[in-house]
Amino acid sequence: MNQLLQRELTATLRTRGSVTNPLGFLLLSLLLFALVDPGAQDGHNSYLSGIFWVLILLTNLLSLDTMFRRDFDSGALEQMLISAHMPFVAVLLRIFVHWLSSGLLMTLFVPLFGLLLGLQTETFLPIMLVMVVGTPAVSLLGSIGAALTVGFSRGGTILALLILPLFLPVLIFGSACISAAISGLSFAAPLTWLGLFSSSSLLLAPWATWAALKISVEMQ
Amino acid sequence: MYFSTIGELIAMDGHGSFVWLAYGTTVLVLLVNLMATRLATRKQESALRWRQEVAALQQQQTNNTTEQNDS
Amino acid sequence: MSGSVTASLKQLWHKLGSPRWFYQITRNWVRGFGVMAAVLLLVGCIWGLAFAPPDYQQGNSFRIMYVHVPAAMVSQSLYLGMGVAGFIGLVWRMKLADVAIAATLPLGISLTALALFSGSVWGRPTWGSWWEWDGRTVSTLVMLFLYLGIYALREAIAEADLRARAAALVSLVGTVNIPVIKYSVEWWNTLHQPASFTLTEKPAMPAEMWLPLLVMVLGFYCFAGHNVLSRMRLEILRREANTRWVAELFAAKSVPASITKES
Repeated sequence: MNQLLQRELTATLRTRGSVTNPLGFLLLSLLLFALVDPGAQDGHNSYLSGIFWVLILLTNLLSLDTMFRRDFDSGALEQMLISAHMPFVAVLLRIFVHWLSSGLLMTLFVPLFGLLLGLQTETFLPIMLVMVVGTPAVSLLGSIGAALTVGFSRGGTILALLILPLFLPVLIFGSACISAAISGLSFAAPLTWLGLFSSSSLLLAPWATWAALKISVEMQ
Repeated sequence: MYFSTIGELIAMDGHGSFVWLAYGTTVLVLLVNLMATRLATRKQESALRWRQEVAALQQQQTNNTTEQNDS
Repeated sequence: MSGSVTASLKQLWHKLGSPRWFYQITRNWVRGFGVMAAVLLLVGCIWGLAFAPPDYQQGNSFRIMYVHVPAAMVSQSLYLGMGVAGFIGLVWRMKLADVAIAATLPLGISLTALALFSGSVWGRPTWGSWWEWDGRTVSTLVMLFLYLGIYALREAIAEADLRARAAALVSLVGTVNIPVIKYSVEWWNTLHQPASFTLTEKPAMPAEMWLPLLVMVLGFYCFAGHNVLSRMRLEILRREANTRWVAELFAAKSVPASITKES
Protein backbone atom coordinates (compact mmCIF):
# COMPACT_ATOMS: atom_id res chain seq x y z
CA MET A 1 0.00 0.00 0.00
CA ASN A 2 2.71 2.49 0.88
CA GLN A 3 4.75 1.63 -2.21
CA LEU A 4 1.69 2.77 -4.13
CA LEU A 5 1.76 5.97 -2.10
CA GLN A 6 5.50 6.27 -2.71
CA ARG A 7 5.04 5.78 -6.42
CA GLU A 8 2.27 8.38 -6.57
CA LEU A 9 4.23 10.94 -4.59
CA THR A 10 7.38 10.59 -6.67
CA ALA A 11 5.29 10.73 -9.86
CA THR A 12 3.65 13.97 -8.80
CA LEU A 13 6.89 15.47 -7.56
CA ARG A 14 8.57 14.63 -10.82
CA THR A 15 5.92 16.50 -12.82
CA ARG A 16 6.10 19.65 -10.74
CA GLY A 17 4.56 21.67 -13.50
CA SER A 18 1.07 20.31 -12.94
CA VAL A 19 1.39 21.27 -9.27
CA THR A 20 2.88 24.74 -9.41
CA ASN A 21 1.02 26.07 -12.44
CA PRO A 22 -2.42 26.03 -10.81
CA LEU A 23 -0.92 27.77 -7.78
CA GLY A 24 0.51 30.41 -10.04
CA PHE A 25 -2.92 30.85 -11.57
CA LEU A 26 -4.51 31.24 -8.15
CA LEU A 27 -1.94 33.79 -7.03
CA LEU A 28 -2.26 35.75 -10.23
CA SER A 29 -6.07 35.85 -10.24
CA LEU A 30 -6.12 36.89 -6.57
CA LEU A 31 -3.70 39.64 -7.50
CA LEU A 32 -6.05 40.75 -10.25
CA PHE A 33 -8.96 40.92 -7.85
CA ALA A 34 -6.90 42.76 -5.25
CA LEU A 35 -5.89 45.36 -7.83
CA VAL A 36 -9.28 45.80 -9.40
CA ASP A 37 -11.51 45.77 -6.36
CA PRO A 38 -10.68 48.74 -4.08
CA GLY A 39 -12.55 47.14 -1.15
CA ALA A 40 -10.29 44.06 -1.32
CA GLN A 41 -7.24 45.98 -0.12
CA ASP A 42 -8.53 46.49 3.38
CA GLY A 43 -10.23 43.15 3.30
CA HIS A 44 -13.58 43.98 4.88
CA ASN A 45 -15.96 43.75 1.94
CA SER A 46 -18.13 40.67 1.74
CA TYR A 47 -17.26 39.63 -1.82
CA LEU A 48 -13.85 38.52 -0.74
CA SER A 49 -14.82 35.13 0.64
CA GLY A 50 -16.91 34.33 -2.41
CA ILE A 51 -14.16 35.31 -4.84
CA PHE A 52 -11.63 33.44 -2.78
CA TRP A 53 -13.56 30.20 -2.91
CA VAL A 54 -14.53 30.53 -6.54
CA LEU A 55 -10.87 30.91 -7.44
CA ILE A 56 -9.97 27.89 -5.33
CA LEU A 57 -12.58 25.85 -7.20
CA LEU A 58 -11.36 27.02 -10.59
CA THR A 59 -7.75 26.27 -9.71
CA ASN A 60 -8.74 22.81 -8.61
CA LEU A 61 -10.55 22.42 -11.90
CA LEU A 62 -7.31 23.11 -13.73
CA SER A 63 -5.30 20.51 -11.88
CA LEU A 64 -8.17 17.99 -12.03
CA ASP A 65 -8.05 17.94 -15.80
CA THR A 66 -4.54 16.51 -15.80
CA MET A 67 -5.05 14.28 -12.77
CA PHE A 68 -5.51 11.00 -14.63
CA ARG A 69 -4.18 12.20 -17.95
CA ARG A 70 -0.60 11.06 -17.46
CA ASP A 71 -1.52 7.54 -16.37
CA PHE A 72 -4.25 7.31 -18.99
CA ASP A 73 -1.75 7.94 -21.78
CA SER A 74 0.95 5.71 -20.31
CA GLY A 75 -1.50 2.88 -19.63
CA ALA A 76 -0.69 2.78 -15.93
CA LEU A 77 -4.37 3.47 -15.32
CA GLU A 78 -5.32 0.05 -16.64
CA GLN A 79 -2.71 -1.60 -14.46
CA MET A 80 -4.16 0.14 -11.46
CA LEU A 81 -7.68 -0.93 -12.32
CA ILE A 82 -6.75 -4.55 -12.88
CA SER A 83 -4.13 -5.08 -10.25
CA ALA A 84 -5.75 -3.33 -7.30
CA HIS A 85 -7.34 -5.92 -5.03
CA MET A 86 -9.02 -3.08 -3.17
CA PRO A 87 -10.25 -0.65 -5.84
CA PHE A 88 -11.60 1.80 -3.26
CA VAL A 89 -8.16 2.21 -1.70
CA ALA A 90 -6.28 2.56 -4.97
CA VAL A 91 -8.59 5.33 -6.20
CA LEU A 92 -8.70 7.00 -2.78
CA LEU A 93 -4.92 7.06 -2.68
CA ARG A 94 -4.73 8.69 -6.09
CA ILE A 95 -7.25 11.33 -4.99
CA PHE A 96 -5.40 11.85 -1.70
CA VAL A 97 -2.15 12.53 -3.52
CA HIS A 98 -3.95 14.93 -5.83
CA TRP A 99 -5.44 16.68 -2.81
CA LEU A 100 -1.98 16.99 -1.26
CA SER A 101 -0.69 18.69 -4.36
CA SER A 102 -3.67 21.01 -4.79
CA GLY A 103 -5.97 21.57 -1.83
CA LEU A 104 -3.41 21.29 0.91
CA LEU A 105 -0.83 23.29 -0.97
CA MET A 106 -3.28 26.16 -1.42
CA THR A 107 -4.01 26.05 2.27
CA LEU A 108 -0.34 26.51 3.06
CA PHE A 109 -0.30 29.59 0.86
CA VAL A 110 -3.26 31.21 2.62
CA PRO A 111 -1.05 33.61 4.66
CA LEU A 112 0.42 34.91 1.41
CA PHE A 113 -3.03 35.33 -0.13
CA GLY A 114 -4.26 36.91 3.08
CA LEU A 115 -1.54 39.54 3.07
CA LEU A 116 -2.21 40.18 -0.60
CA LEU A 117 -5.89 40.80 0.15
CA GLY A 118 -5.18 42.83 3.26
CA LEU A 119 -6.78 40.47 5.73
CA GLN A 120 -5.91 40.73 9.40
CA THR A 121 -3.28 38.19 10.35
CA GLU A 122 -5.36 36.51 13.03
CA THR A 123 -7.93 35.41 10.41
CA PHE A 124 -5.31 33.35 8.54
CA LEU A 125 -5.52 30.34 10.82
CA PRO A 126 -9.35 30.03 10.71
CA ILE A 127 -9.26 30.38 6.93
CA MET A 128 -6.65 27.64 6.70
CA LEU A 129 -8.82 25.43 8.88
CA VAL A 130 -11.83 26.06 6.65
CA MET A 131 -9.80 25.21 3.57
CA VAL A 132 -8.41 22.02 5.04
CA VAL A 133 -11.97 20.90 5.77
CA GLY A 134 -13.41 22.08 2.45
CA THR A 135 -10.84 21.17 -0.22
CA PRO A 136 -11.04 17.35 0.18
CA ALA A 137 -14.65 17.49 -1.00
CA VAL A 138 -13.51 19.46 -4.03
CA SER A 139 -10.81 16.93 -4.95
CA LEU A 140 -13.10 13.96 -4.32
CA LEU A 141 -16.06 15.25 -6.32
CA GLY A 142 -13.75 16.62 -8.98
CA SER A 143 -12.06 13.25 -9.40
CA ILE A 144 -15.36 11.78 -10.63
CA GLY A 145 -15.48 14.30 -13.46
CA ALA A 146 -11.76 13.99 -14.13
CA ALA A 147 -12.07 10.21 -14.41
CA LEU A 148 -14.99 10.54 -16.80
CA THR A 149 -13.50 13.13 -19.11
CA VAL A 150 -9.93 11.78 -19.19
CA GLY A 151 -10.73 9.96 -22.43
CA PHE A 152 -11.90 13.03 -24.29
CA SER A 153 -9.55 15.01 -26.46
CA ARG A 154 -10.69 18.38 -25.07
CA GLY A 155 -12.45 17.31 -21.91
CA GLY A 156 -11.85 20.52 -19.95
CA THR A 157 -15.08 22.29 -20.81
CA ILE A 158 -17.24 19.25 -20.17
CA LEU A 159 -15.41 18.63 -16.93
CA ALA A 160 -16.35 22.12 -15.78
CA LEU A 161 -19.97 21.71 -16.87
CA LEU A 162 -20.23 18.38 -15.06
CA ILE A 163 -18.44 19.26 -11.86
CA LEU A 164 -19.15 22.91 -11.04
CA PRO A 165 -22.78 22.27 -10.09
CA LEU A 166 -21.51 19.65 -7.66
CA PHE A 167 -19.14 22.17 -6.09
CA LEU A 168 -22.01 24.51 -5.25
CA PRO A 169 -22.62 23.32 -1.67
CA VAL A 170 -18.89 23.52 -0.89
CA LEU A 171 -18.78 27.04 -2.34
CA ILE A 172 -21.81 28.19 -0.37
CA PHE A 173 -20.72 26.89 2.98
CA GLY A 174 -17.04 27.65 2.36
CA SER A 175 -17.64 31.30 1.63
CA ALA A 176 -20.09 31.50 4.55
CA CYS A 177 -17.29 30.22 6.79
CA ILE A 178 -14.69 32.62 5.49
CA SER A 179 -16.93 35.70 5.59
CA ALA A 180 -17.76 34.78 9.20
CA ALA A 181 -14.08 34.24 9.95
CA ILE A 182 -13.10 37.56 8.38
CA SER A 183 -15.65 39.48 10.43
CA GLY A 184 -14.56 37.56 13.51
CA LEU A 185 -17.84 35.73 14.06
CA SER A 186 -17.95 32.05 14.98
CA PHE A 187 -18.19 29.87 11.85
CA ALA A 188 -18.85 26.52 13.58
CA ALA A 189 -22.16 25.83 11.83
CA PRO A 190 -21.09 26.19 8.18
CA LEU A 191 -17.83 24.44 9.04
CA THR A 192 -19.67 21.36 10.25
CA TRP A 193 -21.61 21.32 6.98
CA LEU A 194 -18.36 21.56 5.06
CA GLY A 195 -17.05 18.65 7.09
CA LEU A 196 -20.18 16.69 6.28
CA PHE A 197 -19.67 17.25 2.54
CA SER A 198 -16.03 16.22 2.73
CA SER A 199 -16.68 13.07 4.74
CA SER A 200 -19.69 11.99 2.68
CA SER A 201 -17.84 12.51 -0.60
CA LEU A 202 -14.92 10.63 0.97
CA LEU A 203 -17.25 7.66 1.31
CA LEU A 204 -19.14 7.90 -1.97
CA ALA A 205 -16.90 9.59 -4.52
CA PRO A 206 -14.19 6.91 -4.90
CA TRP A 207 -16.79 4.37 -6.02
CA ALA A 208 -18.09 6.73 -8.68
CA THR A 209 -14.51 7.54 -9.73
CA TRP A 210 -13.74 3.85 -9.95
CA ALA A 211 -16.78 3.26 -12.17
CA ALA A 212 -15.85 6.29 -14.28
CA LEU A 213 -12.28 5.07 -14.71
CA LYS A 214 -13.50 1.67 -15.86
CA ILE A 215 -15.61 3.44 -18.48
CA SER A 216 -12.97 5.82 -19.76
CA VAL A 217 -10.23 3.19 -19.87
CA GLU A 218 -12.14 1.48 -22.64
CA MET A 219 -12.29 4.75 -24.49
CA GLN A 220 -8.68 4.58 -25.63
CA MET B 1 -66.59 32.55 -15.43
CA TYR B 2 -64.63 35.00 -13.30
CA PHE B 3 -64.21 37.52 -16.12
CA SER B 4 -67.45 38.95 -17.49
CA THR B 5 -66.15 39.79 -21.01
CA ILE B 6 -63.49 38.34 -23.25
CA GLY B 7 -61.79 41.73 -23.25
CA GLU B 8 -61.36 41.48 -19.50
CA LEU B 9 -60.03 37.96 -19.90
CA ILE B 10 -57.33 39.26 -22.22
CA ALA B 11 -56.44 42.22 -20.05
CA MET B 12 -56.70 40.41 -16.70
CA ASP B 13 -56.64 43.87 -15.09
CA GLY B 14 -53.12 44.62 -16.11
CA HIS B 15 -51.42 41.24 -15.61
CA GLY B 16 -52.62 39.84 -18.90
CA SER B 17 -49.34 40.31 -20.78
CA PHE B 18 -47.40 38.29 -18.22
CA VAL B 19 -49.96 35.52 -17.94
CA TRP B 20 -50.39 35.12 -21.69
CA LEU B 21 -46.62 35.29 -22.21
CA ALA B 22 -46.13 32.42 -19.75
CA TYR B 23 -48.96 30.35 -21.24
CA GLY B 24 -47.79 31.11 -24.75
CA THR B 25 -44.29 29.82 -24.09
CA THR B 26 -45.71 26.76 -22.36
CA VAL B 27 -47.87 25.90 -25.36
CA LEU B 28 -44.88 26.56 -27.61
CA VAL B 29 -42.57 24.29 -25.60
CA LEU B 30 -45.10 21.46 -25.41
CA LEU B 31 -45.92 21.72 -29.11
CA VAL B 32 -42.27 21.80 -30.16
CA ASN B 33 -41.58 18.68 -28.12
CA LEU B 34 -44.65 16.98 -29.51
CA MET B 35 -44.00 17.88 -33.15
CA ALA B 36 -40.26 17.15 -33.00
CA THR B 37 -40.93 13.63 -31.76
CA ARG B 38 -43.74 12.99 -34.19
CA LEU B 39 -41.79 14.23 -37.23
CA ALA B 40 -38.69 12.28 -36.29
CA THR B 41 -40.75 9.12 -35.79
CA ARG B 42 -42.46 9.54 -39.13
CA LYS B 43 -39.10 10.11 -40.82
CA GLN B 44 -37.59 7.03 -39.20
CA GLU B 45 -40.61 4.85 -40.04
CA SER B 46 -40.62 5.91 -43.69
CA ALA B 47 -36.86 5.23 -43.86
CA LEU B 48 -37.44 1.74 -42.50
CA ARG B 49 -40.36 1.14 -44.84
CA TRP B 50 -38.23 2.29 -47.80
CA ARG B 51 -35.46 -0.04 -46.72
CA GLN B 52 -37.90 -2.96 -46.73
CA GLU B 53 -39.24 -2.05 -50.16
CA VAL B 54 -35.70 -1.98 -51.57
CA ALA B 55 -35.02 -5.35 -49.97
CA ALA B 56 -38.25 -6.78 -51.37
CA LEU B 57 -37.40 -5.34 -54.79
CA GLN B 58 -34.00 -6.96 -54.83
CA GLN B 59 -35.60 -10.19 -53.74
CA GLN B 60 -37.97 -9.80 -56.67
CA GLN B 61 -35.11 -9.29 -59.13
CA THR B 62 -33.08 -12.23 -57.88
CA ASN B 63 -36.21 -14.42 -58.32
CA ASN B 64 -36.71 -13.15 -61.90
CA THR B 65 -33.08 -13.73 -62.87
CA THR B 66 -33.07 -17.25 -61.36
CA GLU B 67 -36.27 -18.00 -63.35
CA GLN B 68 -34.63 -16.78 -66.60
CA ASN B 69 -31.55 -18.98 -65.97
CA ASP B 70 -33.76 -22.07 -65.38
CA SER B 71 -35.97 -21.53 -68.45
CA MET C 1 -50.18 -15.72 -3.94
CA SER C 2 -46.96 -13.77 -3.22
CA GLY C 3 -45.03 -16.50 -5.06
CA SER C 4 -46.87 -15.75 -8.29
CA VAL C 5 -46.51 -11.99 -7.83
CA THR C 6 -42.75 -12.18 -7.48
CA ALA C 7 -42.67 -14.65 -10.40
CA SER C 8 -44.58 -12.26 -12.65
CA LEU C 9 -42.42 -9.36 -11.45
CA LYS C 10 -39.28 -11.30 -12.29
CA GLN C 11 -40.76 -12.15 -15.66
CA LEU C 12 -41.60 -8.50 -16.20
CA TRP C 13 -38.02 -7.65 -15.30
CA HIS C 14 -36.62 -10.03 -17.91
CA LYS C 15 -39.07 -8.78 -20.48
CA LEU C 16 -37.90 -5.22 -19.83
CA GLY C 17 -34.60 -6.36 -21.20
CA SER C 18 -36.05 -6.76 -24.68
CA PRO C 19 -36.80 -3.53 -26.53
CA ARG C 20 -39.19 -5.40 -28.83
CA TRP C 21 -41.56 -6.29 -26.02
CA PHE C 22 -41.33 -2.69 -24.73
CA TYR C 23 -42.08 -1.32 -28.21
CA GLN C 24 -45.24 -3.37 -28.55
CA ILE C 25 -46.52 -2.88 -25.01
CA THR C 26 -46.17 0.90 -24.97
CA ARG C 27 -48.12 1.36 -28.19
CA ASN C 28 -51.44 1.91 -26.47
CA TRP C 29 -49.80 3.46 -23.38
CA VAL C 30 -48.55 6.28 -25.57
CA ARG C 31 -51.99 6.81 -27.07
CA GLY C 32 -53.65 6.69 -23.67
CA PHE C 33 -51.26 9.22 -22.16
CA GLY C 34 -51.66 11.44 -25.20
CA VAL C 35 -55.45 11.58 -24.95
CA MET C 36 -55.42 12.09 -21.19
CA ALA C 37 -52.79 14.82 -21.46
CA ALA C 38 -54.82 16.67 -24.11
CA VAL C 39 -58.02 16.54 -22.06
CA LEU C 40 -56.40 17.41 -18.73
CA LEU C 41 -54.31 20.27 -20.10
CA LEU C 42 -57.26 21.76 -21.95
CA VAL C 43 -59.57 21.57 -18.94
CA GLY C 44 -56.83 22.78 -16.58
CA CYS C 45 -55.93 25.76 -18.74
CA ILE C 46 -59.49 26.95 -19.19
CA TRP C 47 -60.28 26.37 -15.53
CA GLY C 48 -57.12 28.06 -14.28
CA LEU C 49 -57.25 30.97 -16.70
CA ALA C 50 -60.88 31.85 -16.76
CA PHE C 51 -62.69 30.39 -13.78
CA ALA C 52 -60.28 30.36 -10.84
CA PRO C 53 -60.62 33.46 -8.61
CA PRO C 54 -57.61 35.80 -8.59
CA ASP C 55 -55.24 35.85 -5.63
CA TYR C 56 -56.13 38.68 -3.21
CA GLN C 57 -52.49 39.82 -3.06
CA GLN C 58 -51.14 39.14 -6.54
CA GLY C 59 -54.29 39.51 -8.57
CA ASN C 60 -54.36 37.57 -11.84
CA SER C 61 -50.63 37.08 -12.29
CA PHE C 62 -50.84 34.08 -9.91
CA ARG C 63 -52.45 32.16 -12.83
CA ILE C 64 -48.93 31.59 -14.09
CA MET C 65 -48.64 29.17 -11.17
CA TYR C 66 -50.79 26.70 -13.14
CA VAL C 67 -47.98 26.47 -15.65
CA HIS C 68 -44.91 27.16 -13.54
CA VAL C 69 -45.48 24.63 -10.78
CA PRO C 70 -46.28 21.63 -13.01
CA ALA C 71 -43.27 22.37 -15.23
CA ALA C 72 -40.96 22.52 -12.20
CA MET C 73 -42.42 19.38 -10.64
CA VAL C 74 -42.31 17.31 -13.82
CA SER C 75 -38.76 18.44 -14.66
CA GLN C 76 -37.61 17.31 -11.22
CA SER C 77 -39.36 13.96 -11.45
CA LEU C 78 -37.88 13.47 -14.94
CA TYR C 79 -34.42 14.08 -13.49
CA LEU C 80 -35.16 11.61 -10.71
CA GLY C 81 -36.36 9.16 -13.36
CA MET C 82 -33.08 9.56 -15.22
CA GLY C 83 -31.23 8.85 -11.98
CA VAL C 84 -33.18 5.63 -11.51
CA ALA C 85 -32.60 4.69 -15.16
CA GLY C 86 -28.92 5.47 -14.65
CA PHE C 87 -28.75 3.16 -11.66
CA ILE C 88 -30.48 0.34 -13.53
CA GLY C 89 -28.31 0.99 -16.55
CA LEU C 90 -25.10 0.81 -14.53
CA VAL C 91 -25.96 -2.19 -12.39
CA TRP C 92 -27.86 -4.41 -14.83
CA ARG C 93 -26.51 -2.93 -18.09
CA MET C 94 -30.03 -2.75 -19.58
CA LYS C 95 -30.26 -1.22 -23.06
CA LEU C 96 -33.64 0.30 -22.21
CA ALA C 97 -32.09 2.35 -19.41
CA ASP C 98 -29.96 4.35 -21.82
CA VAL C 99 -32.90 4.63 -24.20
CA ALA C 100 -34.87 6.12 -21.28
CA ILE C 101 -32.15 8.66 -20.47
CA ALA C 102 -31.77 9.69 -24.11
CA ALA C 103 -35.56 10.05 -24.39
CA THR C 104 -36.04 12.04 -21.19
CA LEU C 105 -33.27 14.58 -21.78
CA PRO C 106 -34.90 16.89 -24.33
CA LEU C 107 -38.20 17.15 -22.46
CA GLY C 108 -36.38 17.54 -19.12
CA ILE C 109 -34.25 20.39 -20.40
CA SER C 110 -37.15 22.21 -22.06
CA LEU C 111 -39.43 21.86 -19.00
CA THR C 112 -36.71 23.09 -16.63
CA ALA C 113 -36.11 26.08 -18.91
CA LEU C 114 -39.87 26.62 -19.07
CA ALA C 115 -40.11 26.49 -15.27
CA LEU C 116 -37.34 29.08 -14.94
CA PHE C 117 -38.84 31.33 -17.61
CA SER C 118 -42.39 31.16 -16.29
CA GLY C 119 -41.05 31.70 -12.77
CA SER C 120 -39.31 34.88 -13.77
CA VAL C 121 -42.33 36.09 -15.76
CA TRP C 122 -44.41 35.45 -12.65
CA GLY C 123 -41.83 37.17 -10.44
CA ARG C 124 -41.96 40.35 -12.49
CA PRO C 125 -45.42 41.61 -11.39
CA THR C 126 -45.28 39.91 -7.96
CA TRP C 127 -41.80 40.70 -6.68
CA GLY C 128 -40.99 43.38 -9.19
CA SER C 129 -37.86 41.63 -10.49
CA TRP C 130 -37.21 39.14 -13.29
CA TRP C 131 -34.88 37.02 -11.20
CA GLU C 132 -35.05 36.32 -7.48
CA TRP C 133 -32.15 34.58 -5.74
CA ASP C 134 -34.66 32.38 -4.02
CA GLY C 135 -33.62 28.90 -2.94
CA ARG C 136 -35.88 27.18 -5.43
CA THR C 137 -34.98 29.27 -8.43
CA VAL C 138 -31.25 28.73 -7.93
CA SER C 139 -31.59 24.97 -7.42
CA THR C 140 -33.75 24.74 -10.57
CA LEU C 141 -31.05 26.63 -12.45
CA VAL C 142 -28.41 24.23 -11.11
CA MET C 143 -30.59 21.31 -12.19
CA LEU C 144 -30.66 22.81 -15.68
CA PHE C 145 -26.86 22.76 -15.71
CA LEU C 146 -26.84 19.17 -14.48
CA TYR C 147 -29.18 18.31 -17.38
CA LEU C 148 -26.94 20.13 -19.85
CA GLY C 149 -23.92 18.34 -18.39
CA ILE C 150 -25.45 14.98 -19.21
CA TYR C 151 -26.46 16.21 -22.65
CA ALA C 152 -22.93 17.48 -23.38
CA LEU C 153 -21.42 14.25 -22.10
CA ARG C 154 -23.63 12.18 -24.39
CA GLU C 155 -22.65 14.32 -27.34
CA ALA C 156 -18.96 13.95 -26.55
CA ILE C 157 -18.77 10.16 -26.50
CA ALA C 158 -19.22 8.38 -29.81
CA GLU C 159 -19.18 4.76 -28.77
CA ALA C 160 -22.73 3.77 -27.77
CA ASP C 161 -22.03 1.48 -24.85
CA LEU C 162 -19.53 3.85 -23.19
CA ARG C 163 -21.85 6.79 -23.75
CA ALA C 164 -24.64 4.86 -22.08
CA ARG C 165 -22.59 3.96 -19.02
CA ALA C 166 -21.06 7.43 -18.67
CA ALA C 167 -24.45 9.13 -18.94
CA ALA C 168 -25.89 6.64 -16.45
CA LEU C 169 -23.13 7.40 -13.96
CA VAL C 170 -23.47 11.18 -14.30
CA SER C 171 -27.25 11.11 -13.94
CA LEU C 172 -26.90 8.92 -10.86
CA VAL C 173 -24.28 11.22 -9.30
CA GLY C 174 -26.44 14.21 -10.22
CA THR C 175 -29.54 12.75 -8.61
CA VAL C 176 -27.64 12.12 -5.37
CA ASN C 177 -26.57 15.77 -5.38
CA ILE C 178 -29.93 17.36 -6.18
CA PRO C 179 -31.21 17.29 -2.58
CA VAL C 180 -27.81 18.40 -1.25
CA ILE C 181 -27.69 21.36 -3.61
CA LYS C 182 -31.34 22.18 -2.94
CA TYR C 183 -30.83 22.19 0.82
CA SER C 184 -27.62 24.17 0.79
CA VAL C 185 -29.15 26.77 -1.53
CA GLU C 186 -32.21 27.02 0.72
CA TRP C 187 -29.95 27.32 3.78
CA TRP C 188 -27.82 29.99 2.09
CA ASN C 189 -30.89 31.80 0.87
CA THR C 190 -32.69 31.97 4.19
CA LEU C 191 -29.44 33.35 5.58
CA HIS C 192 -29.63 36.35 3.27
CA GLN C 193 -33.29 37.22 3.01
CA PRO C 194 -36.44 35.91 4.70
CA ALA C 195 -38.05 33.03 2.80
CA SER C 196 -40.15 34.81 0.21
CA PHE C 197 -43.67 33.83 -0.88
CA THR C 198 -43.74 30.04 -1.06
CA LEU C 199 -45.26 28.82 -4.30
CA THR C 200 -47.06 25.67 -3.43
CA GLU C 201 -48.62 25.88 0.02
CA LYS C 202 -51.56 23.81 -1.20
CA PRO C 203 -53.64 23.69 1.99
CA ALA C 204 -53.56 27.47 2.43
CA MET C 205 -55.16 27.96 -0.99
CA PRO C 206 -58.93 27.63 -1.33
CA ALA C 207 -60.11 24.51 -3.19
CA GLU C 208 -61.16 26.29 -6.37
CA MET C 209 -57.58 27.57 -6.64
CA TRP C 210 -55.57 24.39 -6.23
CA LEU C 211 -57.98 22.04 -8.01
CA PRO C 212 -57.03 23.42 -11.43
CA LEU C 213 -53.42 23.12 -10.32
CA LEU C 214 -53.94 19.42 -9.64
CA VAL C 215 -55.50 18.98 -13.06
CA MET C 216 -52.61 20.81 -14.72
CA VAL C 217 -49.99 18.80 -12.82
CA LEU C 218 -51.67 15.54 -13.89
CA GLY C 219 -51.90 16.87 -17.41
CA PHE C 220 -48.17 17.68 -17.47
CA TYR C 221 -47.30 14.23 -16.11
CA CYS C 222 -49.46 12.59 -18.79
CA PHE C 223 -47.80 14.73 -21.45
CA ALA C 224 -44.37 13.75 -20.08
CA GLY C 225 -45.43 10.09 -20.17
CA HIS C 226 -46.61 10.44 -23.74
CA ASN C 227 -43.55 12.34 -24.91
CA VAL C 228 -40.92 10.23 -23.17
CA LEU C 229 -42.48 6.94 -24.22
CA SER C 230 -42.83 8.01 -27.85
CA ARG C 231 -39.23 9.23 -27.84
CA MET C 232 -38.16 5.90 -26.37
CA ARG C 233 -40.03 4.06 -29.11
CA LEU C 234 -38.34 6.27 -31.68
CA GLU C 235 -34.95 5.60 -30.10
CA ILE C 236 -35.69 1.86 -30.18
CA LEU C 237 -36.55 2.05 -33.88
CA ARG C 238 -33.26 3.81 -34.49
CA ARG C 239 -31.16 1.37 -32.51
CA GLU C 240 -32.92 -1.80 -33.61
CA ALA C 241 -33.25 -0.68 -37.24
CA ASN C 242 -31.55 -3.71 -38.70
CA THR C 243 -33.09 -6.36 -36.50
CA ARG C 244 -35.49 -8.92 -37.91
CA TRP C 245 -38.52 -7.84 -35.86
CA VAL C 246 -38.23 -4.26 -37.08
CA ALA C 247 -37.86 -5.53 -40.66
CA GLU C 248 -41.06 -7.53 -40.27
CA LEU C 249 -42.81 -4.62 -38.68
CA PHE C 250 -42.18 -2.45 -41.72
CA ALA C 251 -42.17 -5.22 -44.34
CA ALA C 252 -43.57 -4.00 -47.63
CA LYS C 253 -47.10 -5.45 -47.87
CA SER C 254 -46.66 -6.25 -51.57
CA VAL C 255 -44.15 -5.01 -54.05
CA PRO C 256 -46.03 -2.37 -56.10
CA ALA C 257 -47.02 -3.97 -59.42
CA SER C 258 -45.69 -1.02 -61.46
CA ILE C 259 -42.11 -1.73 -60.44
CA THR C 260 -42.21 -5.46 -61.22
CA LYS C 261 -43.57 -4.83 -64.77
CA GLU C 262 -40.62 -2.71 -65.83
CA SER C 263 -37.87 -5.01 -64.43
